Amino acid sequence: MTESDDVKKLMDVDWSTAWESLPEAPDLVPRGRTAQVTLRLPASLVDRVRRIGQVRDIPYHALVRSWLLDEDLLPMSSTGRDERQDAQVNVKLAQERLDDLKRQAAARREPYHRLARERIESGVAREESAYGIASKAQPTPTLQQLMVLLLHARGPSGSDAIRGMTRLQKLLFVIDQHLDSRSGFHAHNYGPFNESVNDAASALRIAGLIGDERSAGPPSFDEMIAHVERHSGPAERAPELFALTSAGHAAAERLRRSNRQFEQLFRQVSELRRDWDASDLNDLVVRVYEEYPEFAENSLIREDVAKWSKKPKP
Amino acid sequence: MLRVRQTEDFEYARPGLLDEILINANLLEFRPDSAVAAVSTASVPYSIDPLLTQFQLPGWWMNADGTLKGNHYLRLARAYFADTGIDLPTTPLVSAVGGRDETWVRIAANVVRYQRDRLLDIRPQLDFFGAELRPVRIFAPALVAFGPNEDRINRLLGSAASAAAGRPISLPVIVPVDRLRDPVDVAAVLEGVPTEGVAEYFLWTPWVTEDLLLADEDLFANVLTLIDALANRDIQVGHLYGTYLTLALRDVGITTFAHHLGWIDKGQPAEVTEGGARSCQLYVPGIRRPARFLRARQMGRHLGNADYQDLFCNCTWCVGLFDAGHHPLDLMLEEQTIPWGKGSRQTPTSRATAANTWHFLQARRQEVLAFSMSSSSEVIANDIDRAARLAGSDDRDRLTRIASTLA
Repeated sequence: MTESDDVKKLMDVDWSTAWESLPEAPDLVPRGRTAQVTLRLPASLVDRVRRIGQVRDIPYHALVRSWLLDEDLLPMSSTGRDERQDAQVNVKLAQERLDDLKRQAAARREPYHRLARERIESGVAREESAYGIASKAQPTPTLQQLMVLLLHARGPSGSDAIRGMTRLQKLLFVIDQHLDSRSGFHAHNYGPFNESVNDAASALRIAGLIGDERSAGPPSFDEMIAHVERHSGPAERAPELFALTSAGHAAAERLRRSNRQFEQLFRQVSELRRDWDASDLNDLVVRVYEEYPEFAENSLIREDVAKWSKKPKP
Repeated sequence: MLRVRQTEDFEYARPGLLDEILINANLLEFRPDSAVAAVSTASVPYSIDPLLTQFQLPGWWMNADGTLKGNHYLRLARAYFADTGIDLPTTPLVSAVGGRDETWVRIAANVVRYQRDRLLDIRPQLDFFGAELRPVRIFAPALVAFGPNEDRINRLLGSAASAAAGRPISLPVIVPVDRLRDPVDVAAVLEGVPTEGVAEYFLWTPWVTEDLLLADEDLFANVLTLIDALANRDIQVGHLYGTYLTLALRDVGITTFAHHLGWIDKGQPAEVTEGGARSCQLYVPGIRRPARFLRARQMGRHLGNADYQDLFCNCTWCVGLFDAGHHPLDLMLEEQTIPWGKGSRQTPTSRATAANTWHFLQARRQEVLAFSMSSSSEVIANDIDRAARLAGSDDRDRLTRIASTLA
């Protein structure tokens, strides 16, 4: 039999039912015990989830996780079908739970993402009804608001200032991921990056909320010299320092006290900063790359970061 | 008016140093939050230069490899060319639009709407917002007037913008150097410039530097003819990229003056790009013009406080440095050696550039005030006297030439 006969014979077989009988392929690399699921959802739905989380004082990620695992929840496809799914929620599940979800979705002949979304919609509707919550969406905090709250919170070292744009970007990214603020981070040359962070920092500096104290009138000599000294001389350039001015701290306090949502947000931001703001910037970068590998995909320094992570700590 | 072209410029936009902020539209798209913060905190009026010229030729918005100079150009193009069927014009804009006048009318309406609403569209974030976010003037979109076709389109854009704004507009008159050399062309340009619905003209002569004007008498004469003819229409005339010479033309008819923070006069070609090295490489703002570091050192470093203030500069910045026990030029002429290709080069330090920028901004403000309060001939005569007393200055001859030309 020639090679072409072999091919012809294979082509003539009806393979449509064969997949069912194929054995499961072994994992090429050992699977982790947990998996992260990234769900694209309508922004309004995420806002409703957050609201329920606030009312019940439960982190909304935990709520979403509980709904995804609740087989008693009748999946519901609601009004959001035509709405743009421009928000993102990352949920961590035990690997075997994710496998369960996928099996249930396969049985319904639909992608597991859709089943997940429908369960969330159903969970939201049930909780809103149970707690008498009107489904009015809460505004999402903006980057500038997150930035002043971050700089108002104390880091592990006791200081509230943040040195360097890289650290500021990474910390805001972590906050963004935990809050699903959808502020536009994407995988860039050095990991997660959002151009709007630079704009927000610049806006706060211009407004006199970070950096140098500013008067309302013409700049005094002291203001000008402080501005000039922020720039580097012939010596090696030091990373830029981001610290709130007294006006910035006052603005952050006003924001924090403006409503319960921001009070809670400030607590979350403070906790995240204490948890993530490692004294060594490399440690922060390594952790970001490890916990959010999808945002490190385009990184030009992935190999370097991998080496940092293996380096023994003194 | 201070023209802001790059992010750092916003930090210099402070009350007392300018009367109005003129924001480049491409920068506004790049740093929208910074623009709102600057306008809200500076407590001065603002307007937006729409810079339609950036899309006139593809090479002005794209890099040599065909990539975008930045996503902000894409956002700007979407605002300007909405409902026209044009995305980003990958051919010259004139051919992308073709002969469809209704498309130019649509573009004019879009550009007017952009100026009127863009800052209001930016989501308020913190409580420093709340200032008046309406622009104080609306510019008509305009093309560099390379020839009669652009003259006709500019006329159309001007009247359409005025209709869309519902009020008289500021009309840029952008004449390149080649046409300025020919009096017949200048007359043709003037004939095409409308008067109806125009609050003021804003002249811009790309590629025409101060040095070129002083070296070419015919060119200078044609520019004066253009200004004079526009001013005689009883409509105010401003300049979009002013220099010392532009201020000196106040007696001829220039009444409004926009300048940016780069102190090297390049004539501001239309394809001016953002980023890169600031145009102050080894120059410091001197007596009404930039001076190389070496010359500035020769002119001013030996001067004590009183002589320096009398002859070189008495702005708040320079006086403050003397009061703090430093010679201003020690900081403003600070330089460093950086690797450059296989070798190295001298460049100002970052803080020297910042210091020079404060000095330049304040010195230019003093120039504006001087020309507002005295005649051009008096101001120039005073500057000639200062230059003559400064060892090493070569400004005397140049200033004398300006004075004699204007006389």
